[in-house]
Amino acid sequence: MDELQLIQSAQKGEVEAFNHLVVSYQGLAFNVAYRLLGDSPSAEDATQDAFISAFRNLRSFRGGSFKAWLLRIVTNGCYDELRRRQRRPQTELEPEAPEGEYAPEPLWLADPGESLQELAERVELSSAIQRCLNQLEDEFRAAVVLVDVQGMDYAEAAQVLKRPLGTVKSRLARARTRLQSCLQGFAELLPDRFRLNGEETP
Amino acid sequence: MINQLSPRDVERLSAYLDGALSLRDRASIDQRLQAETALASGLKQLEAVRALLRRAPQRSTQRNFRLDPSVFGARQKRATGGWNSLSLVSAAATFMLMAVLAGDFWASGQFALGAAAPLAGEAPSAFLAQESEMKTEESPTPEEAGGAIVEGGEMGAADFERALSVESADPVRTFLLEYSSVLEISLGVVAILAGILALQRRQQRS
Repeated sequence: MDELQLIQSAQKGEVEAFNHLVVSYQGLAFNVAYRLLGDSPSAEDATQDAFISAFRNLRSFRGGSFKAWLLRIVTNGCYDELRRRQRRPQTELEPEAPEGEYAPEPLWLADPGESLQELAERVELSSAIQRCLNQLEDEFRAAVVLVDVQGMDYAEAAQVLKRPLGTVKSRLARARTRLQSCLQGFAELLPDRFRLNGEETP
Repeated sequence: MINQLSPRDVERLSAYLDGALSLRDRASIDQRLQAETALASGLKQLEAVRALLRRAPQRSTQRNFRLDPSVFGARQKRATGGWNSLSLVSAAATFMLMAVLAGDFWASGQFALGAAAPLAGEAPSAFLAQESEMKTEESPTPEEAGGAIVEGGEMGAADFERALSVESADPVRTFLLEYSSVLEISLGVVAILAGILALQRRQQRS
């Protein structure tokens, strides 16, 4: 069954059809949520909530990009969580790793052909990027996560964020500028090939 | 350096990097890049940031986000019933409003004949008064005119008496006539409010 058929079946209440869509998009949804919220447990909860909400409101999907529709639900859920955090700051019971990462995850070893050094570099890069993303305003972070981290084009990102194209361009530009300044601070920690010297493209 | 550039230039460079500028704007930036060192440096910095972000590792998780059919299958079937309580209230209020309107129309129709009769009964004297002011050469004699009118008046009075007897025997019609406008307005307001609330609930869910 193609995506449209799966959506139509799911709209009739077929959970198994919807679960095929879940399998297709859960990686993307989780990664967007992770980059917006900054930690895995929150991202997992946001992702699960988003899929439940998507299933319950699938009748409101009128065609177009299902990916954009789903990610809008994910993004809005993350915004709600971020606002909730601002209203009720919480102290973690268990301290996280210094880099702000969750407890060591064996899934980081997803690439069996990767050396330990490469893995370490990848972890450092991810940590540095996430720390800098965490310093951005929510709207700027969302724009750069969708376009630069997840590879969407402006139009698709505008659909997800429900903002005009010009707004997405502006937010993306400002986010990139701030990230450039922030990531310069991690220059010493990053491998040469990841450093922002502006001389060559990594 | 990018921090030396204006926000407008940074935005244009960022869009230039993504191929999101018009042909005219792109040509303008191309010219400026050849002449302005700061602009060229800023573009390279943006390019480096974008490239770094594109290398951001994708996180993975072992958590399964699939929905449990035993839970969500039942919920979805209940949800596809299509009606919530507010929708039912709105529908019921609308139905009752239509019933009151129909009853109002029906009751008004029953009184129409009786309502005209008193006027018919009063007509002879009014007609005669008018007649006295008009030319009398070709006008019917008062007796002829009054007789014709009296006939209609007698029929109207009978209808009026019948209507009175009907009214006293049918409190429903009386109630509808006396309170129909209030009922119609109230039911209309209830139907509209319930419909709006039902719509808002659906939109909140979505």
